[in-house]
Amino acid sequence: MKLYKNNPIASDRMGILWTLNGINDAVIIEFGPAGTTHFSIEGLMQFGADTSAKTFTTHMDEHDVTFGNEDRIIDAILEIDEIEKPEYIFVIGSSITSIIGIDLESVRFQVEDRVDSKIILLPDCDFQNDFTHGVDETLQILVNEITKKSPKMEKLPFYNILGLGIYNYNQSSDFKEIKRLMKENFSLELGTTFMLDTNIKDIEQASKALINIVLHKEGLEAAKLLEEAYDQPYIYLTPYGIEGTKKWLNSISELLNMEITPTEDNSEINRVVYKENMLKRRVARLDNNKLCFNNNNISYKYLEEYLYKLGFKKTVDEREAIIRFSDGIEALHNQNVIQISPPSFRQDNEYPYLPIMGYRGAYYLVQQINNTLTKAELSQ
Amino acid sequence: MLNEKYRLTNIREDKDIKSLSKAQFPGPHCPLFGAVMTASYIEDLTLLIIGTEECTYYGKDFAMIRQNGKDRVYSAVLEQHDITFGCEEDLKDIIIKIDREEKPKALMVITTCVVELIGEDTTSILRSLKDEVDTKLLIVKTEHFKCNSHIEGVEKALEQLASLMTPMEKKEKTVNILGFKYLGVENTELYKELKKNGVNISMTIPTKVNMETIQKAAESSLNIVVEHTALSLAKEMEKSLGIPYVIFPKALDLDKIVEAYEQIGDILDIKFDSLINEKYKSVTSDLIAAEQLLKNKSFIYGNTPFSCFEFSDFLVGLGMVPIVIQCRELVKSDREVMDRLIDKGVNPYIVRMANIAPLRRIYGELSPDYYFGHESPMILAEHNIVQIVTDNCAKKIGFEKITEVLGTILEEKGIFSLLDEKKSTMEDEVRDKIKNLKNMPAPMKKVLLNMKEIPDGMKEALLTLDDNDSMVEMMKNHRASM
Repeated sequence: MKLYKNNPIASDRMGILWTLNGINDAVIIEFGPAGTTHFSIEGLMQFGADTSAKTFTTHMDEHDVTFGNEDRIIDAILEIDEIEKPEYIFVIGSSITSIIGIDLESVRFQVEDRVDSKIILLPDCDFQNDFTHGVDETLQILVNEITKKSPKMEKLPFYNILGLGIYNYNQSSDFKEIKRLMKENFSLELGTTFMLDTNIKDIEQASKALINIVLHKEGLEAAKLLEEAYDQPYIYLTPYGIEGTKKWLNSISELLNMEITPTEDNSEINRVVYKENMLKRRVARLDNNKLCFNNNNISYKYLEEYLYKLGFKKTVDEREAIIRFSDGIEALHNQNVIQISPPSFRQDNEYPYLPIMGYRGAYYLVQQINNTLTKAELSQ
Repeated sequence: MLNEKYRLTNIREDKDIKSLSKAQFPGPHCPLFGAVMTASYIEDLTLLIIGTEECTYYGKDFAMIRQNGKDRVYSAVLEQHDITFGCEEDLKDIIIKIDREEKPKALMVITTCVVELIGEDTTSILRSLKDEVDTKLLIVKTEHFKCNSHIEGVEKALEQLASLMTPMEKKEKTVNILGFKYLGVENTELYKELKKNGVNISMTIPTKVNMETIQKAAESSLNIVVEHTALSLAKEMEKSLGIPYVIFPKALDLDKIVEAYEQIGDILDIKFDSLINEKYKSVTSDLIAAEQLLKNKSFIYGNTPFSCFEFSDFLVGLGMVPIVIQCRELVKSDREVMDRLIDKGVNPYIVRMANIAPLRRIYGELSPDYYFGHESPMILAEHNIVQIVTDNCAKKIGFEKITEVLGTILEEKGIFSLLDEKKSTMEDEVRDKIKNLKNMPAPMKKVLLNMKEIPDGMKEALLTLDDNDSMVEMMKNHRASM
């Protein structure tokens, strides 16, 4: 049993639901007590993302729990198939169904011949993994059950993004910057993200893309599956800083054997390079240049690499860090915290023009670090 | 979709009430929500929620919002080992740690579904720690598979507060108000009347107490219960502290309100005769006037702060006709009111609350005049249904509650009546314009007029509407569509 004073780390089940809720036309049925569903639907609001997936609950009573009764989930699947007529119904259990040993596979077996929708079962709660594991598993399920079951597509000038979801802090801005970079440098359009502002049809057609871009580790295994199935190359690299973004673009160029479209006006990039150099000089003069990461289990290895190139040193002791990268709750209470992960508390982050990825992301991030350093120094 | 089996006359027990669909959206809240909501009123009460990451995460989130980020909620998250072998030792260690390091005045331990499912005897664990920790330990069990809503969590959390109180010498003419969950108890009729008669209102639980004052609740000579969720607390306080209680009806029954005032008067030795005489007459005449306007109007009951059957009975008393009543869960006291409704010759469909998606598909078929409760005003307007939201009526205690409900119905206060009132001259201009528009569908007109604040973008669009155009054309000109 673990004790938390702040929010606990979200579970695999929450990651599964967060992934599916980024698919606009996903239909999900939960077999468990209704309160969890109600809470989770309301919990999506903290992300500031548009979600229109439909999540239904069966609710459960003592009789269902005692006798392991599956009638509610069977009836719910039949009803949703008839009324909503979705192409796929995602079925997920709950902590209760995991403990009492409900076999969702047998539920699928009982109903699959009676419904037009295809039923996709989601993993049981295992009471040990965090949400990143749930996201990773769900992305693989989407590839295996939707993309790979659809006809293989001819390659077209598209790319897919993997590992960016509604739960990623700053997703709306970073999403926009990635799309801008891909359009301006390679004239490529987005195919699907699998879990952010997407739909089932785009996931079905994921194999048409020339490349898969993995922005966070959670998308890596799904990218490997796509590579194996469609000979679709992937890149697992996140573009932070000017050099990092150039490296990212060069890697894509190499993988696709495509030239990067030359930029006519370099003034914006030059300005950011200047600001980066100024920040490096500032960091070099600091008595304390330590920073720490409390990333709630999201891997930020490429962001960390960038920050260390700016001259910061790593510490795991938050008390000795001059800057901390953490969640929205910490950011509310501490002058020296830059938010990079959920949860948030009444903090809107919908404005989509403040990325931390890409060239423009570097510009904004350098500014944020400078301003946070000033606040940290003043509060010392 | 609506089966004859769902009719009121066929409802004998809770399990007879069916959900209109097997797949519910959004489904009811759970008792954990109710317990956290109630405990959050007491700003210095510390909570420990035991459960999965999911339950504890969302419980914490909710408490933070309720307490503006100043919550005192800890989470004890169960791991696989705890599910298999139990969590007794870990839980003891955690409670001792919180006791030693944070020194809370009281710790409310809230268990959730999984803890109860694995059969962990948390009550005994807490009892065994009694002499080892300084903090007072309370326990609230909130497994959702044993009930259908958050209400049980509210009741249990309130009931536990009794264990924080110690017997004290009673002060004369001193009362507690139990179960009032809003700010502004001072503005209620009951409060003012008590004050006028020299009664001291010691505390209002849960909204006007903290850990220090709650211990003095036993000084009062009477508890006035204004919400049924506080009844268990009142009974517990009667049993352990010898404080009698009077139930002040939440229902809209004139005679019961009189009876409650008389009971309070008898115990405190005061007379409410002039109030009763004056209000009984005026409210009766308001009821007669309302009946003229509402007779034979039909309604769907969605949700209100009142019992679904008592509120519907009140409306039936005004000559209105219930088509569907959405019920959270059946409680014992409902039987009497249900029989009364049947005796009055009505037989509506009774369906489970918090599942509006399927009901929306048959609004057109049912075509009620009114919908009581929270629902999308635009969806109701599409079907020409007037929305009435009575949330604010719960902030009244006494005869004023009936007056407030009647006013809310007759003024057709919808969901927007809950927003804070902000007005500008432009707002008045917009309202005049809406009133005079001939092409705008009547339900849409009502929705807009009911909004306390019309969004700026909409104001400009409405001011430039040309009433000669069709609604669709007008909206097209403003890049909107229907």
